[in-house]
Amino acid sequence: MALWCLRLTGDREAAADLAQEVFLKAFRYLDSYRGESKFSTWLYSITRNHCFNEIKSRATKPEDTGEAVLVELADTSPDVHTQLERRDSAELLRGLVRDSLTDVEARVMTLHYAEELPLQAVTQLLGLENASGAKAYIVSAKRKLARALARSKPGARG
Amino acid sequence: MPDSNEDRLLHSALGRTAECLPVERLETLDAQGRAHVDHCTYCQNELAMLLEFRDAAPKAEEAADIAWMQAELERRLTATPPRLPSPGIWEKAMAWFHQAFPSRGWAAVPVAAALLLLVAGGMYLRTGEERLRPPTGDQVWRSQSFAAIAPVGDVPSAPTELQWDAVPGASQYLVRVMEVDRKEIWRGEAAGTRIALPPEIRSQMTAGRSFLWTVNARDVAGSTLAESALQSFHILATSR
Repeated sequence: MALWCLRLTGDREAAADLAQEVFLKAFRYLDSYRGESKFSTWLYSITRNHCFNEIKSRATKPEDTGEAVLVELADTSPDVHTQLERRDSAELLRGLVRDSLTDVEARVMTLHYAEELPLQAVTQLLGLENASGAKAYIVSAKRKLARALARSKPGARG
Repeated sequence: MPDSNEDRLLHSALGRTAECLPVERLETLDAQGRAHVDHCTYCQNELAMLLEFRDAAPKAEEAADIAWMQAELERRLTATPPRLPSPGIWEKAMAWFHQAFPSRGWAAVPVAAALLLLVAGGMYLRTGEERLRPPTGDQVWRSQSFAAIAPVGDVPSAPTELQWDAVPGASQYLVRVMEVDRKEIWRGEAAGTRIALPPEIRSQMTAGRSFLWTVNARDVAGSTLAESALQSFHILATSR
């Protein structure tokens, strides 16, 4: 658990703070552990939720992840028809992520966009050692998705 | 965050859906759960994080930070007893202490000491789980007289059988297979030095899970001659 906090924050003092808070929280909610899962799984849930919430609350501003390349899918008009289209867009995008991205790219995208973790936290949690960390994976993933999207259009060749 | 239209779309597409599995179901995937995880990026990431949380061992460059954190947490809890979030914590802490130390006089022990035990226990839990899973596959933690041979360490799929060294004078071997929390899931007896795992047990040995096993050698009278080292194996996660 301490190791996971350390990897998420990249800073031993911040990680010690998180570990202490998680232990207190686990102690407080010990009654809720009913033995239906492994204790380590129960502790993981507490650690994950607490650490992600803390990390997100400390993130101050949205981060630049390169130009928007999926604008065609991202219409925000409020009418019902468009909302249905957006639901289809999300399903289409899930398929493109599944089929076009590497495991690491998919994890980076999930942690940043679904879990809303800052890029620095994603870089540390996944142990990415390239110079620009998670951002490079996101730029690469978006380009792949844009190409896959273009190929998926009716009438597209290749 | 999410900030732009594109961010919102990605948040919606990559986020948790109604079909996604709770984390308790990820630890023991059945066929239906496996089918979902195979095509769900969100659950794949969640499963990967769970396994990393449970199984990751500190790298050499992390060991000093982990040691510092342990010392720091102990220092904080002993030097400055933490403010308790609610009176109920005191009652729980004292209940734990009374259970552990039933003699009188312990009511005066500060909660910090109880929390220190909790922290130390947590550290032990983490390092203990690491001890249960050898990183190289050739490590044995305890060996009184004979060795469990295979499977050990990372294996590509559920093993079909277990093998161990012969013990002179043994007429029967009792084999036990456990989950990493030492909950027994199967036991069998053999006259020789190998035993097949039944299909219903192998079906539980899904990718990403770890198991322990041990062998007890007995003579004709049923008396224990030797206990093997506790061994562990880990089913490698399938790659996409």
